[in-house]
Amino acid sequence: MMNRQVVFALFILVLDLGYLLQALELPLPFARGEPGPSFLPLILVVLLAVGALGVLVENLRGEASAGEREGDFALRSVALIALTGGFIAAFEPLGYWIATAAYTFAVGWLFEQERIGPLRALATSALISIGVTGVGWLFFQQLFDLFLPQGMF
Amino acid sequence: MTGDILGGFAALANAETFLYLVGGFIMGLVFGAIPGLTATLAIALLLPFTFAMELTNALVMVMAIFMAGIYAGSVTGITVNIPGAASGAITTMEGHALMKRGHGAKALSLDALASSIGGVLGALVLMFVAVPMSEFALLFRTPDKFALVFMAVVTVVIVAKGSIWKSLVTVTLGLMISTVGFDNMVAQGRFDFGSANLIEGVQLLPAVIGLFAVCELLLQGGAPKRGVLDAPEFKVTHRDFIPKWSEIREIGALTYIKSSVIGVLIGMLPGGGASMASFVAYAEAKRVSRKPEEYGNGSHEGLAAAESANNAMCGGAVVPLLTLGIPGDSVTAIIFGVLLIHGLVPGPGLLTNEMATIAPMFAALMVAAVFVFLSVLVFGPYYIWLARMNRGVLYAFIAMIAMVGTYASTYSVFQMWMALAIGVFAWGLRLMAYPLVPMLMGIILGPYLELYLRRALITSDGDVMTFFASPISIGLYVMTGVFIYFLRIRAPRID
Repeated sequence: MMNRQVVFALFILVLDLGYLLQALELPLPFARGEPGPSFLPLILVVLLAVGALGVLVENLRGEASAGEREGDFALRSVALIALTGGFIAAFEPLGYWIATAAYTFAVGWLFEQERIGPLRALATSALISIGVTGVGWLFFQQLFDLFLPQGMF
Repeated sequence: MTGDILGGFAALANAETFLYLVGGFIMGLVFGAIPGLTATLAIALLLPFTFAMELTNALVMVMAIFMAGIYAGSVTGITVNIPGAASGAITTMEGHALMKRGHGAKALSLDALASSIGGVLGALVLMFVAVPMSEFALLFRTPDKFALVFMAVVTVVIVAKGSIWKSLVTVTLGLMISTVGFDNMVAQGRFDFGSANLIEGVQLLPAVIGLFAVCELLLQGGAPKRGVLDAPEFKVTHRDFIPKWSEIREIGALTYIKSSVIGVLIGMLPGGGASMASFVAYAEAKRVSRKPEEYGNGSHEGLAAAESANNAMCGGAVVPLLTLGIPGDSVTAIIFGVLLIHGLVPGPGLLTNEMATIAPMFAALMVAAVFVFLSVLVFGPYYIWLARMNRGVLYAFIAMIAMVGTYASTYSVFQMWMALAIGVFAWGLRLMAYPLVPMLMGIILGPYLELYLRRALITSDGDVMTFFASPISIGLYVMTGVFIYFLRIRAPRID
């Protein structure tokens, strides 16, 4: 736990450095007689560094809060990220019906397979997919009259 | 004012508006009760639809979700010992102890009654405090407004659970995100990497969807299958959910009222939230109780105190949002977004100019509080099934609403990518036990913090003493110090 926390705090510090470099490309504070666009960002750089260093020191000293509970990393979460990315990429080209049906089928299967096994989950996920995609269409297009892409097919 | 409030109740008599109220209530009940889902998530998922809704319907629905969602956090806690939300943790301790002794229906009915009483009292305070407070807020000058936003940011950091450093990191990340995009004060792009999409800044909708919906989906991807096989026997009839007068008298009016007042006050505190309200009210009830030994073993008093407080919090949380433009927690932060979407800017002038528009929101909060008690009489015997909701259906639905909703309300695939990116980043933060509410508060409060900071410095020619020049500013800084002392240094604890 300590190593993960330290590495993550270092990652935050790297992000802070990137933000600082961008902030330094803006006019410096009070260069034009007013605080300017970089004034708050530069304060935030210091605050984030203080916060990340606080986490770092807390963990290196072994003083991290006992009540904190880290989340569980799982490959299923990574699969969900990949599926969602794929869905976004395919949404306009394939249109609402095909893209959403495929996406909800896959998401449903990821959760269903642990309950009833991978094969039976294919059937229930198909039902979930039809139901959820249909409900989405009813809500977005019929009830609220919002635009959904039709796709190229 | 009274006329406007009565007009708010009259608006609920419209069949369509009333349906939104009932729909929101049921949505809040389901999302609040299912472990892992929250009222915040329900309102986040509703946000895309509010673009297409009438403002009254949107506000009424959001209020109903808020009240029902906070209440329902305790339902599965009592029945299967898995609280639907963190705010139901204390009720779970007392309520599930009663459930194991075969008094599940009693626990649920006392829980609902206390929630209703707290909710109604909170709504009453909102109705009668909001307008005077709003008129007082009109006196605020720019440095006072900065002191107010500063107090909100500091309080959000100190009340977050766990490491204060992590809370500081996430609120600062939120503030940083708020600086992305075009700087209106000097016509300068910032942190946009030359992207036409980023020059507009990070919009609230993908931020909310990413932080609460996408992140929750990814966290559930790593969560083990829920097991409720060891749930106690729960065969009851509707009649069992009518609380006995003797039990209500044993709890006492003072417990209900005092806990509700605590809930309202904590609700008004930026970052306070339902968990803190129930925790503090429970600790206070235990401190003055004649039967402290029953606490932790199914105390009616403890259960009622915690539940009155967390539902009274709902009314309190809305007060600073409407009067000062400061959201008190994640739910009110999203309500802030709903108001903005419809062209209303939360803050001192809102109630003075738009009371008739806002009044249905007050009425909805009160009616939803009454619904809480009625709901247990109707749905009580079936509550145990909420914990057995199919995860495949649930998360496929959440994934679809989150992503398609983002597209449907922005017509932008870029905003879908933005929601995913924020969600993945938020997931990383949650895996490392960083709190996310401060991040949302940073995103929302950031533009105001910067505006008031820079404007105050410009008008004072860079003199920092302008921030300490008025009694209001000094009072707000003193309050900030008091909050730090009582909420961090001498925070209440349950033995």
